[in-house]
Amino acid sequence: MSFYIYSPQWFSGIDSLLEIITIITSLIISYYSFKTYKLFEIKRYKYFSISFLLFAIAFITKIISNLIIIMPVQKQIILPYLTYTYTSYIKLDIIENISFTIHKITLLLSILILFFILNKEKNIESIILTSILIIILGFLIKNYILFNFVIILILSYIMIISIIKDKIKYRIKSLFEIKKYSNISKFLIGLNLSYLTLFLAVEEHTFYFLGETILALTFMSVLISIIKIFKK
Amino acid sequence: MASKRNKIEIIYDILFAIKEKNNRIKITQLLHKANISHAKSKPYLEELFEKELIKEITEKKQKFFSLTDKGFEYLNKLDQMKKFMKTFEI
Repeated sequence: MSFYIYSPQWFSGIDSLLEIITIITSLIISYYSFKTYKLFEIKRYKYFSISFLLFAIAFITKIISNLIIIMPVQKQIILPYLTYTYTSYIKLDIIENISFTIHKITLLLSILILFFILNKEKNIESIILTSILIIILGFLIKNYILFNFVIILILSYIMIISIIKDKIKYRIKSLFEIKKYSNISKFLIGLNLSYLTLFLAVEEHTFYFLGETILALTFMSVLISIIKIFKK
Repeated sequence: MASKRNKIEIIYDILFAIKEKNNRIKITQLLHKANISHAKSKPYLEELFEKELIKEITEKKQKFFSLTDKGFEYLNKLDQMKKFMKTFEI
């Protein structure tokens, strides 16, 4: 199963181009988070870096799984007095399957790590158990893409609520100050909206285009704010 | 309650305090601005001298601390990373 089943025909391939923005931004976030961890020795940033690295890997493998990889094979037809050799092309399903499996695991893991960081979860046992349970569940459920959409929607929703609660409790005096929200809030709200729209693509494929565009715009906005910091 | 500062945060506060005072600060002002005791500041200042991030200048028989070019560069780098952390606030 691949993502193109939800994509409108005219959008096939363009989604991969949009995902390149997601990959670049995720890699940049991962790199600077790791640098932050090395410099300030704050462990959260190490896990944050791993989370975004996995996010980048998830989207690289998504692009690969959407590619139709073909391999040339020499074939022969032996007729009386004549042997005809020609080149045929076969689709390499194995690459699609492997990359899709990696995509499944890395995307879920990246969101789970982010979820545990933001919820300040320190119980390693519960972290490992929850992660294993969700990943196994993902493999058991037939429509994994839908399962992914639902899990990301739920987790991002919980994370947004937890950030809002945290902000109200410690930092902001009124909800009008929400505009000052950090990149992480921007990212989570964008991710949530994007996956909500992607979920609707099951019924109407145009929503796939909308979901992918929202995701790309979210990452683009985060990328611009990072560039502004490091442009010197 | 403010959390305990780690080494790099103390170094940042020292460098920032020097920069804030037009790159010319007396030790007492520095200790006050960076919120650090004289005894605790010693190893940090030694390290900053050793890495050539700060220098000592004498004017009218008074000693001041000042940032070197390398110190400005390092502070700028720390500033960028701090801004990055602030925008993600995890």
